[in-house]
Amino acid sequence: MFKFVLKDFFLHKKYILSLGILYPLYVGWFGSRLHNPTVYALIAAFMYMIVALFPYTREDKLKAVGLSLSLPATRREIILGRFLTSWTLMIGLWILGTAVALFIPGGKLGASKLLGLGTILTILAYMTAFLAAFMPLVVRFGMVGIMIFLVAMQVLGIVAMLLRARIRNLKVIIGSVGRGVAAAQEALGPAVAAAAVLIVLLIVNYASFELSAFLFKRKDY
Amino acid sequence: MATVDYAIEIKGLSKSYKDFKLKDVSFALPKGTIMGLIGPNGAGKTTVIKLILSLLRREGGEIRVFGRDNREDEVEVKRRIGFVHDTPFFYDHMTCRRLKDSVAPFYREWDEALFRRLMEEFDLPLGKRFSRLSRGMKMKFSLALALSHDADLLVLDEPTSGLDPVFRRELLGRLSAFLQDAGKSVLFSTHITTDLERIADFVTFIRDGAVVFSSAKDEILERWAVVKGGPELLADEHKRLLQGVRKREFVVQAVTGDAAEAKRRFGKTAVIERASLEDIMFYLTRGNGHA
Repeated sequence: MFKFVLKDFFLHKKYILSLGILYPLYVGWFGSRLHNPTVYALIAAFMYMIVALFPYTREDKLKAVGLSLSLPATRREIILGRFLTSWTLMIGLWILGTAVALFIPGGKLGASKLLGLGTILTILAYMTAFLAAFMPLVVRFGMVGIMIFLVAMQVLGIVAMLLRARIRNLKVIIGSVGRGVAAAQEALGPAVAAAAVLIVLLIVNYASFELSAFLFKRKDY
Repeated sequence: MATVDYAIEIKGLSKSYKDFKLKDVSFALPKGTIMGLIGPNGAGKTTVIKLILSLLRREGGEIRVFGRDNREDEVEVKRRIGFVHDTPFFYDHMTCRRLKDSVAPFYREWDEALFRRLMEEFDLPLGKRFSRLSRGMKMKFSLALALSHDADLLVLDEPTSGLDPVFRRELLGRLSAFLQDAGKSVLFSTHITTDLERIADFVTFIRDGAVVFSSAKDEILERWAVVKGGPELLADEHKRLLQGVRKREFVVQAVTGDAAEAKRRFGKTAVIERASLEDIMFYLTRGNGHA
């Protein structure tokens, strides 16, 4: 699997180096302007996930996936390699971006918020959610997969807005879910709650990996 | 012959697309030999090769490489195969060195010294971008990669198409040299049949997704013949003997898979000539079926 990580780094070195500097600089600067760590986590996770998945949309566009498939490895191993590469990239970019946000003078989010357990878990949760949703789509549809996701998000946004107008107590429902999560956190204690969140994220990653591997095995090249 | 005596053994292979179907394809490549997979464009040659490499999912049948199922033992099977694709799946902007660096770690038998020697022999600069290589050079590079991990079987998809005769000869010489190592085998698809007449031991002819024949080349060239004669060749009793019939005003031409019987029947009334692989492919593809 690590051979695939190395291969992807070799093949996309220039791209990873250029975007790997540009994106953390941008997200770091952007993050330093924000007050809300959750919004920062959402934007950072999305941007880093896009960078992490780009090698595979590129592979699809250039029809170079045959190279991976010709190598002595199973399709499952190839997908596992993709997940490992994506996570390596996302974590690496996140560390860089956080460093940039911390060192920019006058940043609104201080170290306590940027490096707080809540922010870290939120970023990991968003990264997991984005990667888990995008990877199967990219495996199945390539570059078009990202478009499908973005259009689906737009549609979802419109539906949510319509629902908001029709169901007055939607805010109450969302609020009660939030309060439930907070109560569970309090009851479990921060360490156990963090461990529980990490386990859930691992399960979501695993489910996405299985789905991606399943789709990849069924695809003809 | 035991299964392990074959480098490739394919039985009842099938695959369907909207407008094309591979039907019940079966053939076997004995170890230590070269097999040419011939057929017109769109016959199914690349589909068969992609199925061997698991780039496509088969719908039926069996593919065994050195006695192992190509899907169940995918890793081991691919480790023993060197591939040269018609359109190499490499990133165009990468240099040969970087492409090699990304592929070599996957093979425990990778021979760096051999790779460098081949690059020198092929006159390929390691620092040159893949996109700047000519088609011949791209093929040479793919071949250098395929040969450098001690593959026991080379699978080449149209390696000589679009190449000049000098390079084609060079490539064929290289394939023959590869066979000098005991147990090495080659399967290559082509529609340039003269290449096969030079080096192939076996020939499998595919047309419209089905195998027309798969036998030793010498046997094919001995058995098949071109028959040229008058309209009497169209008689019903010759229907089973003549294939790929082409009718002109006063001349009928066809091929037969039983040259001896054709000589016996038409010895005095028709001209019977030795058929080349190209003749066989031409008549069976362009002719109008049986007499």
